[in-house]
Parts: sequence; structure tokens; C-alpha cells
Amino acid sequence: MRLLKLPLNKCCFIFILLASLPFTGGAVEKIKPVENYKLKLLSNPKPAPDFILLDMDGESHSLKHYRGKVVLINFWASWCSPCLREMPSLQKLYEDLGTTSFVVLAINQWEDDERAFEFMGQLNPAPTFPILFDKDSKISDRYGVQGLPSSYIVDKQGRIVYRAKGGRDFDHPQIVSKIKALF
Amino acid sequence: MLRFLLLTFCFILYSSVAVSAVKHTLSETTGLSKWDVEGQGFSLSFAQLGADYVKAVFIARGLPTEVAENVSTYCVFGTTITNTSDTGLTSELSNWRIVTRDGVEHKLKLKSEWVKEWISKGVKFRWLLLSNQQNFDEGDWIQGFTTVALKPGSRFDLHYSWKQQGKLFNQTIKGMHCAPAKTSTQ
Repeated sequence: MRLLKLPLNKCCFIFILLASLPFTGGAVEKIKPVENYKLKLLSNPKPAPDFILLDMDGESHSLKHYRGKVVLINFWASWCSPCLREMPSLQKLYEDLGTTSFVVLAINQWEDDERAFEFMGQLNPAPTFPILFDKDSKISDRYGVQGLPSSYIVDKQGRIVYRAKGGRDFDHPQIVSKIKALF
Repeated sequence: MLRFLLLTFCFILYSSVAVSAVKHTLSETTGLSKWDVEGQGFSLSFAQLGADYVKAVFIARGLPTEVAENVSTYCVFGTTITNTSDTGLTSELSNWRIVTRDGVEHKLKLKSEWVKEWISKGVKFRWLLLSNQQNFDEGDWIQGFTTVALKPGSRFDLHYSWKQQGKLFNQTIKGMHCAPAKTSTQ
């Protein structure tokens, strides 16, 4: 209300100043960086759909086999650049948390082991966790995956407790502590 | 009274422009444009992709040349949507509209329409394209192609929307362009 008592010339000055703000090279509304360590905590965790898939060596992996461990399921493909960017952070997480209570299962979509092998060669550190193949995308359909990458964290009881759509920094302390809390 | 009107006008002008500050980038090499906009917890990036690139991407996924060529005849945008807010939001691409300079409204050709076409040709591929409806929790983001049947060279406005906490948000990016393919002589 004090502004209303200002002389007209001062009001004009304020008007010109404020009206010019949006045209000052984006000083008003900067593009924010993605806060990519956020995970959606599911308030009503549901059982993770089971699957049996083959890895690069032809060994079969069943989700049920990992019951009692915390499992991070990551859906990915070699053409997806955010998948490429987040994969080293998954490997660091896997190395830091060890394999006693935790495992990462990276489920490739649509591709074969040859394509996946080429992709892995570009990564540093290269993944040592199981890379599985869902060539007809049946498993990603059951998880309701809308885009790649998408990740799900399954607790020791086999329930999906966290979900993330889009790339994340999986070795970020906030994600690490959330996973450790599930051990 | 005059001062009150002046300040009110100033506030309206400021808030309406601030939420829709669009950053436009033009590649001199390809002649293709990219638009980035962020406001009210919703970030959108729209980057036109060249027809040859689009065709190559689909062929590299093992799709038949005919399918890849068909997609590449559309105006294709690499689209990234990010939830920059602290709460969930949804966006339904079937509600987005493209209005060309002649005032004609165009819908995006949706992923569900492409997938239906591909299934009829025996192709079960369902990736690369942005899904019709997207739910974004805090920190979520997604990348994918969006397609619209426009003639090369068309200029248009994009009207996009999203819902958050029951409220519908509508925004427009004005003066967009579906650039024709650049040949080596250009």
C-alpha cells in the first residue's frame, strides 16, 4: 500500500524496471539443474512382479532367487543417453554396498547381447552386476515402464518401495542411505 | 488510481512473461532449433531432429526401412519433460496442440497411434517415442520423440499443458519452426 503513495515519476520508474526484468537474458527464470538423487517412496508397497531372464552368459536369473536382498532393478537400452550417464553410478553403488545384502539387475530392452556388450565397453567403470535381456519388453510392461531409464528398488520382502523415472546419481549419499536403511 | 492501475498492469505483465521465458537455440550447422522453457515446476525441452537422423535411429533398432521412413516424414522433436517441483504432476500429450500460422490446429501423432500401426505390420517395438500420458513424481524426468504431421518449413505455436494437485496449467511456446532438411549446397 505504501507504493500507492509514491509520486507518479517513482511509480513509472518501478514499472519500467519490473517490466524489463524478463528481457534481461533469463535472469528471472533460469533453467534449474535436475535434482537427480530423488526417489519416490511408495506409501503402499506392492510385490515386485517376478521374472526369469537370461544374462550375457546365458545364465538365468529369477527375481525370487534374490529374496532377502535389496534389489535395484534398472530398465535400460543402449540408445538411451541418460542410461549411459547413470550406469557408472550404479556400478559405484554396487561396489560400495557389496553383494551380501544388495544386488543390481540391469534389464536391457529390445536388444541383444552383442549390442549390450558394445555399450558396456564405453562405460568406466564397466558394470559387473548382472545384465539381463527382456527382448520383447514383457517384463517392462509388467512394471509399467513408460520410458528409459526407469528404476525400482525392491526390499528384502520382495516389495517395490522406491521408484525413479529418468536418470539418477545412484551413488549420491541420499540414495545410498535410503538403500542402506532397507538392509 | 492511476498509480494503482499502473502497478497492477506491471505485476500482470511481469508474472505472465516470467513463467514462460523461452530459450531458443538455433544450430547453424543443421538449421534445426531447440526450445527450452521452465516455469511453475514444469520444464520442457523441444529439439527438432533431422529426418535422416530419425530414420537412422529406427533402422538401427532393427525396424523395417518402410517404418523408419514413414516416421521421418513427420516433424520429429526430441522432447524432454522434467518435474522441477516438489510434488507429482501428470501430462497428457493428447491435450497438446500445435497451431500453424493459418490458424489450423494439429494434434501430435501419439505413441499409441504409432504402436498400433507398427503392430499391424508385425513390429512390436514400443520405445523411443514419448508415452501419451506421463506421471512424474518428484525428481522424475523423461526423454523421447514427439511427432506431428507438418509440412517442412511450417511455423507454429505449441500449446502444452500439465496437471498438478488438481490444477490444470496451460502454456504456449510461440514462433516455433519445423525446419526443412538442410542439403549440402545450403
